[in-house]
Amino acid sequence: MDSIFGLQGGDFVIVACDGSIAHSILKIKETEDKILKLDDHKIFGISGEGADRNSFGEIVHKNHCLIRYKTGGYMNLQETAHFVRSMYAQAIRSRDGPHQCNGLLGGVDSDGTPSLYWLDYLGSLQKITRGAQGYANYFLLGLLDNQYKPNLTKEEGIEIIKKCIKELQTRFLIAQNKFIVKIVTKQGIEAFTI
Amino acid sequence: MSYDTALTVFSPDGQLFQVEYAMEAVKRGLCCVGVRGKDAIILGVEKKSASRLQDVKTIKKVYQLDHNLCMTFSGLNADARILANQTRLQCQQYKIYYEDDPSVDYIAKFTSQQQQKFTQRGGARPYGISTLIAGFSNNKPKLFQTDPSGACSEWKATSLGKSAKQVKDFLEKHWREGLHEKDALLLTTKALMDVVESGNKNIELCVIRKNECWFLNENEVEELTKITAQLQ
Repeated sequence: MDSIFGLQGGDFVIVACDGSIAHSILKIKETEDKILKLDDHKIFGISGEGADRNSFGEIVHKNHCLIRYKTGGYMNLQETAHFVRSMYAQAIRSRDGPHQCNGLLGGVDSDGTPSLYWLDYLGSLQKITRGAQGYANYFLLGLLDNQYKPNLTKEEGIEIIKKCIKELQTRFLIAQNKFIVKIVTKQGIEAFTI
Repeated sequence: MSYDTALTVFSPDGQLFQVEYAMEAVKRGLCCVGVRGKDAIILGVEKKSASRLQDVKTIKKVYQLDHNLCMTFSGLNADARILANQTRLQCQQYKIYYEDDPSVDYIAKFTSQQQQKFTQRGGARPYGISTLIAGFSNNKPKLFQTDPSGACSEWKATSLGKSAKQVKDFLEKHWREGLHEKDALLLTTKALMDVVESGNKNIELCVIRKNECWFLNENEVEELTKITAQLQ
């Protein structure tokens, strides 16, 4: 039921998520932040069951920190995306089974290059310029394809995200009132609620 | 009968010789210094290059365990790497379980526990290092020392390795409570420069603050050694 969507611009990446947590017919929370901050220039939006989302997010974050301290360095987006993919892939034939969550990993490398990656629970990995997870896929891919152009500015990116949110609020059966949007640029991560 | 060839054998006068010998290995190691200040802890280590062809810049002897926790050592380099990696893993595991940073004394106890395990196991030898672990808990700076026997204690300022006694005497004379970061840094540099041969290229310095660690680069160390030399 989560909607996670995002796009990559000329020098930034945006990932947006809906804030609601529902249990059967009850909406428990509207302001849940489903976009995890991996470090100052990487964010990982995760969609899936609450427990899986939280625990997988924790494991990814802590392993990411551990690798950084062990190697004394910095993992760029490509390395991080492949690392997260390998965590998904190792789990699918393990005793506990796959991690039941999908994700959008986005960020900006130290040289300013933005990237966005689409990951799913079986270990698929694809570098994309715009995409979505969950039900948002059905509603937003067309809109994102239509509005996207190469080298978008940050303001244009935010406008497109606002259009996506409006589309979901108009056409999606499940009312999702609040969306949390995070933008990564070379300067860092900005977050706001729409 | 010799009581020093097996780890798991006490001598008649109650000593574990292998552990004592491990501490000898530490005493032969290169000097390291830790100084606790009011708002920062300074760790300084001596680096020695095997020959002119070796790039001393790339020898890193202060290990960052977490965003505001660092460790340095005297003794066998390779043992330190293993212990540091185990401790890094433990830091992250603690955070997964408790959603909070581990306190410095937890990490120091963990490290000393790892070292103790190898004083009771047959077929393995103790870690040949004593470590200095520095970080912040409850907004207070803390400096801990562990040794091959598995002992762990907190210190205000200490040193390990070859010229440890000389440096400790110096620190006993000059350390005082509530040193600011800059003063603590100068004190550490001076303590090291007294015992390290040929100055700045062979010193590595790290400042541990409440939320971050600052590893001084080559130029910053050089500047610091110049200032320290002038102050004398």
